[in-house]
Amino acid sequence: MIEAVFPLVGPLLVFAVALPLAAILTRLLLAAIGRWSEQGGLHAHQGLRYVLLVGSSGAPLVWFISASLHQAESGRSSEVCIATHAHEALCREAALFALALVVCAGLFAMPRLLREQLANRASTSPDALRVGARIAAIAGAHAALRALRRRVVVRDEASAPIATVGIASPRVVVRTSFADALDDDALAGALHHELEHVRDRDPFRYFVAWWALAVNPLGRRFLDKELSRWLLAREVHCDREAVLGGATAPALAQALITAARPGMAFVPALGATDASTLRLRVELLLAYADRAPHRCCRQPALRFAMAALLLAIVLPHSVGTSALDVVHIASEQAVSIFTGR
Amino acid sequence: MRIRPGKKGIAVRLFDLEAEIMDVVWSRRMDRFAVSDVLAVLERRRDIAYTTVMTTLARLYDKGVLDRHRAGKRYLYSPRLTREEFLQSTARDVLKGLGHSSGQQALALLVETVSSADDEVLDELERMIRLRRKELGS
Repeated sequence: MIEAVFPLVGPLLVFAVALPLAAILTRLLLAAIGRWSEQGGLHAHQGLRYVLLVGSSGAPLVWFISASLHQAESGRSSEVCIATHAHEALCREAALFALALVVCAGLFAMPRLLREQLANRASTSPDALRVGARIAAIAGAHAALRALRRRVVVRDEASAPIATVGIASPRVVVRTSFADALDDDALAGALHHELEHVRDRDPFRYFVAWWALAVNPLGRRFLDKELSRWLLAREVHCDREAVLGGATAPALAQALITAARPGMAFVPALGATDASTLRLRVELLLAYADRAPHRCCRQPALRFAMAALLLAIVLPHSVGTSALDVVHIASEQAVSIFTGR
Repeated sequence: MRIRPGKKGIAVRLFDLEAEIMDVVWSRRMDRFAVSDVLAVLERRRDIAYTTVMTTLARLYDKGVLDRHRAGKRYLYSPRLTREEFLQSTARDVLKGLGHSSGQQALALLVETVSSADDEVLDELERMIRLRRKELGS
């Protein structure tokens, strides 16, 4: 059997079998959590939900990469390597398999990362400069918003009215026409909301969650609704933190309505014809005007996710790599059947 | 609790008069009140009978939205949930109707754009917000 079989067919089996199985399992787990915490409202177990969403693709991929690197380690090959390449110092097949997985997983991420680097540079038009000066004055008047200094970019042609972007270094991109449509109170409210996204590095979190679903053939089919739920909970969380941070709740609600107007952006709608999520957020904000919200527990989702991925890295080295052996043997058998040898 | 998805605001789960009464209770921060307290506010808006308010408050108590204690010959009511808690409890219905995410990666949008079919909803929400901003003097 040629050495290229496992590095070429193995990743196919991982993407076509292991990841879809993980997506189905994750869907079942999330449904069970939903039934278990039915009374918990929007914020129940959001950290756990995020870990499961990201882990549905991240954990199997990281496990397989880590396991194959373990098999490739010089002098410490596992049984499959010993049987076929006992005399070799490095199991090339396992190393190439790991490389193929990294390349495949990276291919999904790279175009987005590159596009993000090129987009959202500040405009230098007089209007953009005027709005920039106005935002600086608003930030100067609100102590909390000073954290956004040098993190706000004003663009005449931004893709969204206002958004937080930047995987490595989050920044707020404001469209000139959106800022012009709001009074100072509403613009300050919107900036308070975005500040929370900046603080929690949400662009990175969103990107990782998007990648986890995109890389999995059944990710969007089985888990997209759960991602929508998590995103809505994040937005509601940021609304509340904005109010706690000094935003006027009805003014922020006004900013939401202005940003949601069909003519304001060209991104597709959440639920297309359904404004119920927007209504919920607006009504929650108006409720905050009656009674200030309580500070909710922080959701250390990213830390949980990182801990889970670290576990996936360590496990093959301590527990064993039998699942990788199964993929190895299955890929060689599949080629044998296919070629008739 | 009956769900009325076509209705606005807290009317999603309450009948119109129930929703109006709860709006009065929450926005005026009435922590302990009698039928006459609510009647006094509603009477300024329209003609309404004492017995109608009394019956509606009793129904809100049955639904678990209000608590009540006997004080002499009358009941004193108090809200069991804040408006936020009530809305959070109705979020379940919203979550069931959630569609797919927009596929916007690494981009934390303030809000997703709604379709032009929802223009009326936006207008109605905007009216609610303007009214509240006016009340708050902002």
